[in-house]
Amino acid sequence: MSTQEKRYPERAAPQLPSGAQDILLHDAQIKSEVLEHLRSVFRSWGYIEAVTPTFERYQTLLDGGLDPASMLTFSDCDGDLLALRPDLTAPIARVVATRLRDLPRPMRLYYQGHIFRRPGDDRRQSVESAQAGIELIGAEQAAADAEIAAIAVESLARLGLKDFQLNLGHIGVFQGILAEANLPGSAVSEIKQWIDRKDRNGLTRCLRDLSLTPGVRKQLFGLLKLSGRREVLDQARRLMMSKISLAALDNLESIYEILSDYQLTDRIILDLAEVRGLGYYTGLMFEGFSRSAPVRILSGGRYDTLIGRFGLDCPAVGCAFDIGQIRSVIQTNRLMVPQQIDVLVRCPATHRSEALSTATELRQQGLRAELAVTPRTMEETLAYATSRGIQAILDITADGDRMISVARGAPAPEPIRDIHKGETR
Amino acid sequence: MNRLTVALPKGRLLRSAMELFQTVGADFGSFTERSRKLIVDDTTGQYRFMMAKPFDIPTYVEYGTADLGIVGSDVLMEEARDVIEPLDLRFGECRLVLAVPSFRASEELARHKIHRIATKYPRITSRYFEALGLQVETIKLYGSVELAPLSGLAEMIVDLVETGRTMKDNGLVPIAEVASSSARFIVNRASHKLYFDRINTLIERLTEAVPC
Repeated sequence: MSTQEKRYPERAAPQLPSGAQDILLHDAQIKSEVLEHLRSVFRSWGYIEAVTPTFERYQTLLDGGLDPASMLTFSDCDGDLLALRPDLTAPIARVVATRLRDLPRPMRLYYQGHIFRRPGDDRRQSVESAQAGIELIGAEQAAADAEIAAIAVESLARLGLKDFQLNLGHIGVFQGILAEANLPGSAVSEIKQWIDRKDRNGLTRCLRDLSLTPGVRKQLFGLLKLSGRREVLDQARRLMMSKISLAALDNLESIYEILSDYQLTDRIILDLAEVRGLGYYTGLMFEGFSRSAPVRILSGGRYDTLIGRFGLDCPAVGCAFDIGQIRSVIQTNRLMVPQQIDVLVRCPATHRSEALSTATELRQQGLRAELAVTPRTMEETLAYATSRGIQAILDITADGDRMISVARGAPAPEPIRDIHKGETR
Repeated sequence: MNRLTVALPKGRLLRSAMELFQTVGADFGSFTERSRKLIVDDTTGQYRFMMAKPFDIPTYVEYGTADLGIVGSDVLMEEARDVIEPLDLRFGECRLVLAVPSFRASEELARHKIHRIATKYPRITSRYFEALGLQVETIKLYGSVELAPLSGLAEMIVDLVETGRTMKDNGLVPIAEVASSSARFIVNRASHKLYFDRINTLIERLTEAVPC
């Protein structure tokens, strides 16, 4: 190395803001590979990409039903309040209702990008996270819901995930139970909170205070156990009393039927106990889980009123993949191997032209070829190749070319001749 | 069948927590609550137990390192982790109280003053006073909270009382109950979905084992 790197130990290293993360090396490689896989699945189903800005008007996001507490806001030069997007579906809904409103529907869009959410007061979540997702717009039929769920399953399978499941629920089941009780919003959200935590004691106390009918009580407690395969639908039908709940079950059954035509039902759990979900869901809601992730790795659902809030009455269903969680599942299970450099091409200055065309040839064969641009001895080159995990060195000399395989973790240059494969052209 | 991992709280709740799991068939072998081992495999092959500090248990469960856990609701309220809490186990019952030195017991909490309160539970304490419309300064301590008003670090404390002995011995009197607490059974959100039948059966058996 002709110039030594300069270091300034007296200067403090710049720090990232809390909640921000660098994604580097293998992590970055796997992340982009995950995105590539997803994109290719989405495209194969006829979805086309939509790119929306990282920030929107705050009001747009509020209209999109997003939680103001989650948004990171700032203002533009006119004093208009802006926010980094905490979700990618609301911006897609805005686009569909405005710039794409005259396009034929159903419309299939996919997106990938980063979302930003203000962390809780203990600052343990990261602010920025990567998502990719699909939206099927303009179809209210169960076939559309099933298509989105099927793509979710296919995507995870194509990424190599093994232990995963999709939990399907329906917002109408829970809504139906409370629809006839005529409760104030605060009581509904309190009930929802106890059901979300599956806290039977809390729910008991809360319901006692609200003096609900025994029927409502029985349905709410019954809900907590309704998770499993197809039989859950029949159990639920025996329990549910309201028309809204029963219609939701019929809808869920139609979706399940189609998923069984897709032959995907071994991945599907019917989960009526789930009441969590974004504020804009109106029908099917689903979440994907892997045994290697502590939280869901994807979520989705039907949102028939969201696009209407931006001025176009239009049903839609979609789902979003949490790229960070999926990446960590893939890394935990070693489902993707980070790619190494196949060959390092080194040559004396006199043979540069030959070396460059050889490298081009190797790349055309699909290999990853790196050029040695800094003058190094063979010993140094081997040490460098070893530390980088480079598979082989192509040494171009006046006496001909030789391919040297770099034995992993063997920095000694001594046995060059022994491992020399004698590959000369 | 893989083992479900259970985080159990070291300290005052451990014996009851172990007994509870024994009633549903777990076998701790030679492990007792005085053992120093941190990870214990149930000899029947159903569970792996992890012995952790009570305040760390919600964290282990939220991050999925443990599928299940037992922890006091005081800790759950303070840590505010995103876990499922399906069951009140009704042991380890105690109260979180606001206490003052006995010579100040007759003083009123004043709106115009900012009181200084020492506690292991700053979040619960702040919430409590916010609800009363009072501003307070909470000082986080890690133990022997009774020392704070005696030494002049704070005017009052919010702390756990089981029998009230320690407070009494240190000349403190409770003036209000901030919250009541008992042991809870908690579950990681993804585990609850992935092992629904197993965990639901366990919840039912634990419910039977819990006195009403």
